[in-house]
Amino acid sequence: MDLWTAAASRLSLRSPARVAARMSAFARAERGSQLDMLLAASQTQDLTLASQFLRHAHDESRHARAFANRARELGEDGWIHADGGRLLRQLGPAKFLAFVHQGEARAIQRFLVIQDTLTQNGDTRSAAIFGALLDDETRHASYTRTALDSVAENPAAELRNARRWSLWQGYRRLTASTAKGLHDAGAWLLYLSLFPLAFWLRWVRPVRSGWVESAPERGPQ
Amino acid sequence: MSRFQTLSELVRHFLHRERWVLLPLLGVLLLGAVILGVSTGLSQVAPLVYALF
Amino acid sequence: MSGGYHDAAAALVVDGVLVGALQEERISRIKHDPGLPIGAALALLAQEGLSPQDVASVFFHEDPYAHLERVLLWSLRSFPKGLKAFPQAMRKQLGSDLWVLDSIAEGLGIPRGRIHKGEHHRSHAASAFLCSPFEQAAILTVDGVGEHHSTGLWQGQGAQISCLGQLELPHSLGLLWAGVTGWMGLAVNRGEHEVMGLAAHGQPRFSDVFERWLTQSEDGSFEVDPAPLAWLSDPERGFGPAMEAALGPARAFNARWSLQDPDFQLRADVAASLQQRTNEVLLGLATALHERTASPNLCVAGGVALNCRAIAHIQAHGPFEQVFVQPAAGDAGGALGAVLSGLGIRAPMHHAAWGVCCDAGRAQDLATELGMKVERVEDPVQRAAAHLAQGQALAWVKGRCEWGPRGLGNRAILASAADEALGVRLSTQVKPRAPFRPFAPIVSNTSFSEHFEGRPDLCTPFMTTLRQSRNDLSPATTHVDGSARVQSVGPKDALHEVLAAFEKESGQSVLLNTSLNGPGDPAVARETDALAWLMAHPGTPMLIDDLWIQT
Ligand SMILES: [Fe+2]
Ligand SMILES: [Fe+2]
Ligand SMILES: [Fe+2]
Repeated sequence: MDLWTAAASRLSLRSPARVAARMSAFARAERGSQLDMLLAASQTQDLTLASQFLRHAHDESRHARAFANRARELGEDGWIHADGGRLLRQLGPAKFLAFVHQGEARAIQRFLVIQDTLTQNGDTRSAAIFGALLDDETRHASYTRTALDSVAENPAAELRNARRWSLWQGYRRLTASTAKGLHDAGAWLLYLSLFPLAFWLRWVRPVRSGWVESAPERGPQ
Repeated sequence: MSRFQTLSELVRHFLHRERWVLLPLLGVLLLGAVILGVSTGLSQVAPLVYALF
Repeated sequence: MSGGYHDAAAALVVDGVLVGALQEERISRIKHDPGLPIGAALALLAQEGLSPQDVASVFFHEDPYAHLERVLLWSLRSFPKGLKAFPQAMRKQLGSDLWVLDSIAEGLGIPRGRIHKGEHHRSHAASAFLCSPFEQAAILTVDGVGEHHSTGLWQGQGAQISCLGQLELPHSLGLLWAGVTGWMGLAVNRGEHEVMGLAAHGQPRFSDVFERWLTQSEDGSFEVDPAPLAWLSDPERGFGPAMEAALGPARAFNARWSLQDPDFQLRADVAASLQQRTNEVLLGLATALHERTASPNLCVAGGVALNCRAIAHIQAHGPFEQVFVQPAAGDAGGALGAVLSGLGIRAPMHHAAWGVCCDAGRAQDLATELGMKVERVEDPVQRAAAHLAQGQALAWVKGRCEWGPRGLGNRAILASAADEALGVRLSTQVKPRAPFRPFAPIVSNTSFSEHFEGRPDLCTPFMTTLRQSRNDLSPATTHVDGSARVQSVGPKDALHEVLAAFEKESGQSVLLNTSLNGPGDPAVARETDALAWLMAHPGTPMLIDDLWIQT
């Protein structure tokens, strides 16, 4: 597994452009995680846990910015697309903590491997970014584990559940992207086969200029 | 299944004189959408946040 | 509700009275959230002690079937150029947008039969007119595109709104702005206000180009040349090679701005030219509308109505006695318009505080837990004024968060407007932004005319217009051309007392007021957002009601 990850990491970081793309992807992931933690803080009554979530969100926003800045230096546009925030509502407190814990633990493993690869490639600036985040990620992994123990009746079962859920998500993502590919190919073919309709339409529905009457429907029905 | 209400409203919208030219296209598209929807295609998946880790 | 494209929002009416309005971004923390406003709706309901089951009807701001029709129609009309975008557009339409009414029902857990569709531009029209103080008015709606339309002329009487005429795609001011915004390297549908800010730095030396691309007839209707635009073939950038041929190469997306850039003046001149042409065309629309309605009152809504430069131009040169632009004039406002027109009620708007509260008690507990310095102060107004008079910036949180994109005094970063250096520090460190973007001033009604031309009107409380500055006493909030997007406050507004106390302390009556958010984030709404902002901005204290917090 470790050999495999190392090889994969080397492959995915073989050029500055790839490193940049990877940095952008990480910026996005960190930003998404920030949103999840921020919303978790607002949805958590327990003060200690809520404040830990806030600190966590703050760390992830710094991480996102660090990745985005490096991505920009390496030629990406540095734009961070934001998506996330639904996780706690979706999973409930125990499974959420288990899932975040696993994500953070996995991040540490990945970051170490990537840091290694980048150092070997001579990109010490990028490597340093990963190095600087490790302490934070270790803290994230540890407080979520502690919190899980106090929140869940059976932490081990929650961890198993969370693992199963992320596998299921992986599967769904795979089917979704396959379906997307099929759909897009189909839509593309359909579009190309439509040219007679496209020309006919110019007769039936010409572009209109100037003031026109309102659509037949008026107001909510 | 409440989606039938949407489907019937949709069909009613496109039965208008100016719009029926688009009906065949819509039919094919909807058929594709249904097939893909059934194979969990277009439905939303949790964001790709932790997938990278 | 509005949503599914950008700026999702919800507005809540209980027993015929408007009780809340909130953009989804304030809850989801995703700026310009393009999803559905379920979180916002739930927050508004909870604030009233209601549950979704209590909801009798939901009015969506547009018609998803007509929307789909337009997408199909234009995909074919643009054959074969639409090839690239077609699969994605279909995925979005058939995968989610077509089912938006079902998704709302499922999101709230209520029967589908309670969800009703609306009409995009009618919702815009209602969002302005039914919130205005006018019993009758002329209404102008201008945006990118609704279902089929980009522009509408309307007449409002009582709670009734009738359509006088609409313009269809491709003739759209909003999409022309989107294209130029993309050409500027800014994000389409969100960077438009930056282009407007940039316009003040330039000369309209490209006006002939924009006169060619945007032509107007005597009756106010206009035509837009689709050649430079690419909203179908390349919707993310919005412009095509013809724009680059006419104006020069586009800026790289998201590139940093510098006033020293060799091509800065070119960008500013293009922005100024577009702004000038927009002013002319909007004035032409207003004039035509006045001829048809003979009303002394005008309401403007739609994304283009957020262009306060053009609104000021209509106010200064147009035939109307009074102009009203509601704070959430863009698509978020559609939620408000949809529910008001759906129910046929009026809700004249006197303030913008329609969102959720920030809980000072919980903020105190959390801040203590986070190891921040927390203090309950006797006289928060005096404390704020003294701090500001010392030339320091202050984060100010009070009451419910604002409706619309502007910070209007309930979630604000405040500072002395006289202190130019502090303004520069704010725009580089506290609230990083492009160097050409000005901050806005806030002033009490009584001191308004001393500092700004004219008198407070229906737009100034909502910052939906701008004014020329009369003096150079507020350099931190005056744009290069001497204009300022000033907010006027009356005795009932949260900041009124602070302004008075600040004047006593410092002798100045103008404050700098900018919305309370980090770069790329939506404005602070609740206590967790407020504390997250504090953590990211150590050194600037925050006042939540009477709670003084420092990191
Ligand atoms: Fe992180
Ligand atoms: Fe982390
Ligand atoms: Fe709109």
